[in-house]
Amino acid sequence: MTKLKLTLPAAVATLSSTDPASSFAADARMTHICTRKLRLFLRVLLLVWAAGSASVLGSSKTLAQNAYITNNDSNSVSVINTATNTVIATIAIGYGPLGVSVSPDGGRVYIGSAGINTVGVIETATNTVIATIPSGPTAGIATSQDGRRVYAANFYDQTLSVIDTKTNTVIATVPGVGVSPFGLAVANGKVYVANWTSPFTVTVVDTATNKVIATIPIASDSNAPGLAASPDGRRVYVTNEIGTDVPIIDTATDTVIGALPLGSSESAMVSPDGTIVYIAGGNHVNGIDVATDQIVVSSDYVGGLFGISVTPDGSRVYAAAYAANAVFAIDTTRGKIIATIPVGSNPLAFGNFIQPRPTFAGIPGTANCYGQSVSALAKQYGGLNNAAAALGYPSVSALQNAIEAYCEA
Amino acid sequence: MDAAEKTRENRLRRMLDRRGYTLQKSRARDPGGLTYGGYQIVNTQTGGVDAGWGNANRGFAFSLDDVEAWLEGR
Repeated sequence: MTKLKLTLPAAVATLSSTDPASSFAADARMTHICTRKLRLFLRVLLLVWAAGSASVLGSSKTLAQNAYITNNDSNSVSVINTATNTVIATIAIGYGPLGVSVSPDGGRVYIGSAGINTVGVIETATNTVIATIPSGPTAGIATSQDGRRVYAANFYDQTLSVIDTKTNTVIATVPGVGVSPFGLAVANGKVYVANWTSPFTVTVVDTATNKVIATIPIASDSNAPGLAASPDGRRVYVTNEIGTDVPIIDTATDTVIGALPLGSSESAMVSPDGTIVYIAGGNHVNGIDVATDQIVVSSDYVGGLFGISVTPDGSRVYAAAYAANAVFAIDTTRGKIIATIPVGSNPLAFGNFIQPRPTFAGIPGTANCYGQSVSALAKQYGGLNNAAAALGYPSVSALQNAIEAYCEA
Repeated sequence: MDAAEKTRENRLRRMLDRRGYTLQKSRARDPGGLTYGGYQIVNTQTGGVDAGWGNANRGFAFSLDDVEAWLEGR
């Protein structure tokens, strides 16, 4: 049964595909020899197969993006299932985890461990550490949009480590990125580095050359400076614990073009549609509509908030409450805490810590979305078993579930 | 901060000055802020925050006890 599920849709989808990008050589040969009747027959077969597999998989289509919380004092990472708001795993990691970055495909999570100068790599399919990369005294950490590079700010070394995610090795160390580099963001082919120093600057590194290309003055002083990029990469938002607002960097010109009236802030994250910037600051979370400068979420919570991330559908914000040893799940429409999730000691979760919504090769809403997606995955990874493992799904069924949900969106 | 603590802070500040470091106290005003009430040691020559304490790879992670221990370790 499993074998049939794995092999049949790939072949069927290939033959029925209308998307050139998802076709391959065999597809081209088969397309020439297939008659329209054969195509029709295979399409029907696919529908029958899809219906059967759906009944096997059950009715649940919920995509459980996990949140990965660095517990700075307990030297661990708590994995929270955002569908149930429960901790489903606790992963031992190197001494002093602070920065976190989930890869764009959700399959890996990179954790900066301050005390042992390493970046740990967590495989989300198994929630285990699969590599430990010697790097530097890592604070902030960020992943490139294509997932091929991870950048780590080395707080005491004034350098930036560039990690190749295929080999899990440091391939470059960029000097002179500023004094006490802390927060990071990747946008528009550049890495932005926020420096914990006086005067407060953001250094810009070209990802093609790994060279510093600009230094942007921000303010006279900074504490715990953080950065958050808009999904389209056109803006970078700058947080500062002792700041009076949130400056906005235009990544085309690398200049400050304005500021959001959000007051002091510990860290920020942008909603997936780019319309709202959320900040965690001390004991509050604020969200502001970037088009109107109107505050859309403003709530006070006691707990000492630091790291913040938004779910892929934008419906919830998760904030690491280090003083409460918990993570707050906040409904963005009401600004209310809907869950308080106990985690380890001193959770900071500095960076993007929630898995993204998965995307696949098919076009959502089209009849052959599922088949195209399966076909492309089978081709890319040499079968769905490999694809599930590579993309961070615990099983082929979970991957199929995700594809179905994606195609029905 | 009481007078004894202030005296201790000043004493540590002077000791650091003599060794080429500056003692800075967080200017965070929000008691919920991560660095509220914390200290950091800055290398006067480089301007960079010097090695942290415990699990911290950040500034203002020191208490005055930590500053004292850091000095004793030098």
